[in-house]
Amino acid sequence: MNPTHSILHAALEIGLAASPSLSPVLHRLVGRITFGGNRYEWDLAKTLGYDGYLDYHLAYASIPDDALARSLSKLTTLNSSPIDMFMMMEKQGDDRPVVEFITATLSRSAYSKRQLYQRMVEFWSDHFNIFLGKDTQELLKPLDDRNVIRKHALGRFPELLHASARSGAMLMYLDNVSNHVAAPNQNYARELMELYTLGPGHYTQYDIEEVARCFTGWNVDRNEKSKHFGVFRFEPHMHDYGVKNVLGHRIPSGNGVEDGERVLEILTSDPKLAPLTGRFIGQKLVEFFWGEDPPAELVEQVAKVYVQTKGAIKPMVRASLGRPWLERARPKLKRPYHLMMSAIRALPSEIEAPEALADVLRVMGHLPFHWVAPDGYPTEAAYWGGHLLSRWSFGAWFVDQNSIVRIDDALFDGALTPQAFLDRIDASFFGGTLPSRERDALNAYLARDPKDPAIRRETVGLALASPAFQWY
Amino acid sequence: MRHSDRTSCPEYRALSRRQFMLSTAAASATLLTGPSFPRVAFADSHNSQRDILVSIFLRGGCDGLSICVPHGDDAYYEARPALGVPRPDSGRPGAVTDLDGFFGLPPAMTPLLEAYRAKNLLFVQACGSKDETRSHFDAQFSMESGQAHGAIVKDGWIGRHLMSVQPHRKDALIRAIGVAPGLQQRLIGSPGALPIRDLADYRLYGDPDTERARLRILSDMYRDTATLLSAASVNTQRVLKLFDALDLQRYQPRGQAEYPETEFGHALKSSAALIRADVGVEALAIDMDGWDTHSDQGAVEGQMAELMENLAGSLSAFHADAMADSVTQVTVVIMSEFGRVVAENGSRGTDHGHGNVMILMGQGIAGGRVLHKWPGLQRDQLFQGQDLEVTIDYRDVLAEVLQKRLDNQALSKVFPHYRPLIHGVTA
Repeated sequence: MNPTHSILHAALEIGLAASPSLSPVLHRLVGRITFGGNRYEWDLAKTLGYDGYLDYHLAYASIPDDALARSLSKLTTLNSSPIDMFMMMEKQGDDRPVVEFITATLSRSAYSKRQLYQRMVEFWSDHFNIFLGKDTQELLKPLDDRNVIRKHALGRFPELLHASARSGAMLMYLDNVSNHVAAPNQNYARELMELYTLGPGHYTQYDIEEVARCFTGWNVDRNEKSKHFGVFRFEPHMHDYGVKNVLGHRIPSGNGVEDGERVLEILTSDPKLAPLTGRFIGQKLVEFFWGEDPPAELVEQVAKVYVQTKGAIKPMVRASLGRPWLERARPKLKRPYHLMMSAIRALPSEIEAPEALADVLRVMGHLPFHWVAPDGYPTEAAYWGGHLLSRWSFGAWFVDQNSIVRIDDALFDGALTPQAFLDRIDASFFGGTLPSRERDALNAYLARDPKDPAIRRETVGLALASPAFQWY
Repeated sequence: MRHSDRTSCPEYRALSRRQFMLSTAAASATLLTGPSFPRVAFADSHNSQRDILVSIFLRGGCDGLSICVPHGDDAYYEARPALGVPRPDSGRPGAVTDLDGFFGLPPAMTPLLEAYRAKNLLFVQACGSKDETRSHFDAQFSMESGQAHGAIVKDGWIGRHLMSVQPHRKDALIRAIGVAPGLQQRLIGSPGALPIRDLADYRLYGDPDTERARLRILSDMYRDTATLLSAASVNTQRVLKLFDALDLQRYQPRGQAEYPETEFGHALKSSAALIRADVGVEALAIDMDGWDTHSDQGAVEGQMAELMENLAGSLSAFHADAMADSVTQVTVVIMSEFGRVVAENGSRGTDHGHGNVMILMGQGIAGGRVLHKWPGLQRDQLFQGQDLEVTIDYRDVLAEVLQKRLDNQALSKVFPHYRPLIHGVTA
């Protein structure tokens, strides 16, 4: 751990004094690389400056995360093997493993100090989407989350892809377990090229068929008595040992598991194909951090970084967030998960009943690991913008007395004057950027009975439902 | 925990625990911009050229052989020594009520006899998808999307239907509703679709006494913000007013119809109210859970009987209520992802199978009969040696309903690469 960082942390934890006035671009950077700005992050950004703040978060392993680790340590099944989870869930009817998996996901997004890393976990969880409701995914996806997504989120893309290709969850989800020499299943082969690497339009149906042949036999141990249950296993008798021709590369006969590995290498490193994969990943990264319809030049820059660094993710992220570019970015609409996390993060809070949070996310259509199709949750504002009532209700629900997130009650008591109360809302949730029109509307509501704690709560609920809180 | 939770398979439990349909696209709900506020009086003068579609999905893979019992096929009783519903003439308790000399209804389904005799109810046996998958997830996804498993589709068959026809009413605020917390796969892609878990309780969360005041503030904050959210805000406020005016909670069914006090009964009752209000909703999608009966299935007494009582009781009330006259035209389509293995298993249950029954109800349905090309239940007649064969593709049934009852003349847009056969399910 970097000692400078930990001292800085200690200083920041204590020194939550004056709200800093951030430049708009710095404010935006905080918004883009976290699940929601708060006093802590705004202060940190102010102290470190644009590049310093970005570098700080990219060097995520050096950021102490003790408080999160302490709260996660209560989740006893978090590192269980699939077979142990199987014994609990199927034999004892105990749902704890899946509940704790979701709980951990929410807690990490909300409370981890390694916010950019958590955002990248979100990004790759969508990119390599796996639906928790299919087959035995409740047992397998947690392993994929640990060993694929979180292990490589800011690592190198080729390694991430290799890990994903051998993930039991992925092999089950895209039916590669039934990819047999006698009856090839093309599901994984198709998505490997369309969704994970090249993007549509750069391969033919013939390529899909040949890639599928290469991956025959890539399977999962499904023996419930084996301690390797849920782990990758190559089935030699299912494999097609013939010659294959993949995207212009001849793959000789007689090899086994190496065929699939060769395909992954071709897709990530071949001099002709690496730029395509780099552009496809780059486009998605830039959309994630910069916004929709990004400048082609920016995407090209990030794609070049992919080629130059052989797929190192950190420099790609840094390139996506270049300051001159972010200055020209437009606001992004928070997806429901982001909306919820940003509300939780704004005030000192504690999640009391994560299952209830999951229920609300489900109603809002954005519960992690519950997008059915392999393309992951949509990112477009046009997709998420219509269902506004659930956003409005979320704000009201979040501040409800009986809510399942306990928040700092000091905000609601009558001690603050109405103007000080509105200042506090502005400082906590908006970092001082609450537009006057929204502030006026909140003020009008507060005027119904400024001292009434119920009215104060509803005012905060309306602030969370306001247009300004929907964007970042 | 419901009884069925203990007897269903892990995948189904995972799906229903997480209520899989929620995941998709609560928010694909892009509401229409309605030029005017629709009338909300309960209309008795529906001048419709098209039926309103009520699509019901029985999740878990229902046992169609217990719902529409082939009592005329001896192999049924050989395969089901414990679970077989007794023959009509057996004199045993729980005997089948004969429909046509070959098929019959178990006692739990008899509330539907009235609709059947009125020729408003049709069973289509040995029906379903030719897809061989036995995964709930794959089968539900492929059936709701209306495509073969493995095809790349994102939308659903109702979504594509609504995309390929003009809105029934130009001033409709919502064209389709998923009576669920999130839009079901079959509605994905619908213009103007919204998931509403409880139709009778669509409102802003929080204190009802301050609801209007809070909505006014929200309206002020979102007015002319020049983003896509201001348009959504206007529509949300309109739909809230619409539902407020409808007051579905106080709806009185016609014809002394009594809906069971169940979630499903409640959903059908609210749907009837909404349909009668005539506000331009063209499709409703309702789901009923719990049909994954791997053990202790109990078709005469037990969980299967309870499920069927709920289903039949709710449908029979809906028939008396929403189809009481020829004014409101509704077609109800009921399906499930697959049937169950013909032979019962060692736990007095049944495992994932293939062919199944579909049920249609409506004034425009050629009802009062069981439509089938019965393949037989002898071992050598079974699919993969164990299941009822699919002899009628479910898309044939859906396509005919869409064409004949919902005035869709662009079936190739709804079921691309598939040429439906017309079997005469509509009158």
